[in-house]
Amino acid sequence: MTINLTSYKSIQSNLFVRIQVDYYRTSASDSYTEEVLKFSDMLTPFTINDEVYTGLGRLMSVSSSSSEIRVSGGQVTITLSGIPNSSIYEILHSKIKGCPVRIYRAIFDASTGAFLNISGNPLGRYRGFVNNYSLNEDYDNATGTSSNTLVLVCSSSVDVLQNKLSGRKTNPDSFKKTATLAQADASMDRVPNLENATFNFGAPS
Amino acid sequence: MSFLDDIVDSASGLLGGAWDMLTGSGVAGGVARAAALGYMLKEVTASTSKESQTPDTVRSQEPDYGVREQVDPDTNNSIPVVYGEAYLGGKVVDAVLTNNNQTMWYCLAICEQTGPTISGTPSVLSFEKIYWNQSEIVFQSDGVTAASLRDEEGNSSSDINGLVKFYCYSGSSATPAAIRGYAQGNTASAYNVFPNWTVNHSMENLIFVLVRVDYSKEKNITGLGNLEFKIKNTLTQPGDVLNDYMTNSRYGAGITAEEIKAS
Repeated sequence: MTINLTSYKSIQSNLFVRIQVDYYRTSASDSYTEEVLKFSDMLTPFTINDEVYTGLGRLMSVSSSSSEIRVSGGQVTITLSGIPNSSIYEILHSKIKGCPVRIYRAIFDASTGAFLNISGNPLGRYRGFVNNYSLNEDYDNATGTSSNTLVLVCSSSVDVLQNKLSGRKTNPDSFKKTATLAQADASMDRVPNLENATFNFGAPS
Repeated sequence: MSFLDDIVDSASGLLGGAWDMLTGSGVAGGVARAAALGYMLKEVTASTSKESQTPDTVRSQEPDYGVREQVDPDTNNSIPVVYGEAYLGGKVVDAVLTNNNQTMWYCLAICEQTGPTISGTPSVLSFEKIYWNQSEIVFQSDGVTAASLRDEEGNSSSDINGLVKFYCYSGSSATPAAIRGYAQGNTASAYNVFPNWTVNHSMENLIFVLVRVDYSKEKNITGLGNLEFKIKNTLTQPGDVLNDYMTNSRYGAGITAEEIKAS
């Protein structure tokens, strides 16, 4: 998808990050809930696709990614700074790894700051999954406080698909992952026992 | 004088003049020795061949100890996916010996049940032909029991007649399937056919076959032959196939449908 910007003298762009966390909780004792983390590098909250993105300004940064004609893999790093100590548990106790990530680029009129209401805006910039994350602590001796930086390392969907193994094997574990009956399904239960088994076919009883 | 001399003396006494000819040094003695040697060889050969020519009546009374049948299931066997037509051997996933060791049951997983076309029409996988040791199986009118084998040159053999049965299933244990060309076919659920199976043996989203083999040494049916199944899938259009392989979460990439622009 391309957008036509020839009629605009100056534009600005902002990045919007959407992370779907299926297992999110704020402490170890809480139960998991679904949570969608939405934030951008704007200074104020902004709504795109009917979803409000929290403006983190310069506290958020996204590394560069390549744009190629042919679909290719690549890693993108999302950095979130200024996380207070009290919020660390939300990251540690939630299942961040493997969550789908989408990054959009929205185009604004630089002079007015208005969102350009033209076809194709916002653009999809990146689609992938959180492959890993790290937490870095900055301790301030003077005040005795610290702030933390969360670095999310994301792998693109292409990388994930290239490493993906799919299909079923003739063993109980593999079969029960997809079966409706799940643990009760006995279709492949005897395969491990039958390996190297022999039968006296035709022998007198 | 050793006992050997006694034996010679004894033989000499019995054979009289003939012994002198055999042991003599003249021409007559040589001829006689050659003739005697030939006669002895003939007797020894005849004796040996008599031992090997055991009458059929005696041999048929020998007990049949059967065969040591080894099946080859493997927890690392992958279940293939078929689009269009393919010949597959099947993977053994269960085997049972019943009927006083005279009947073997095998369950062979053939391939995955595939998804629908882009327009939503369900794909149908059917059994076209079944081959036993490279020969096509001709079935009895019930569409289940093998009647004869027909090789590539059209030669027919009825050794298999009534001894092997094929119960085909397309999708699950509860969806019996017929072999193409046979109006009547299997109609029973797999868990009602295979020994010791229950409704929990769902064989979900699988194309599979239950094979019953009755032992017959005379007809040389002593195990599962080299089986090959010709399977046909109605999913043949490249777009449908690519879409199915990209979206299927069981054997494909598991990409969500909204991420693919299908039209």
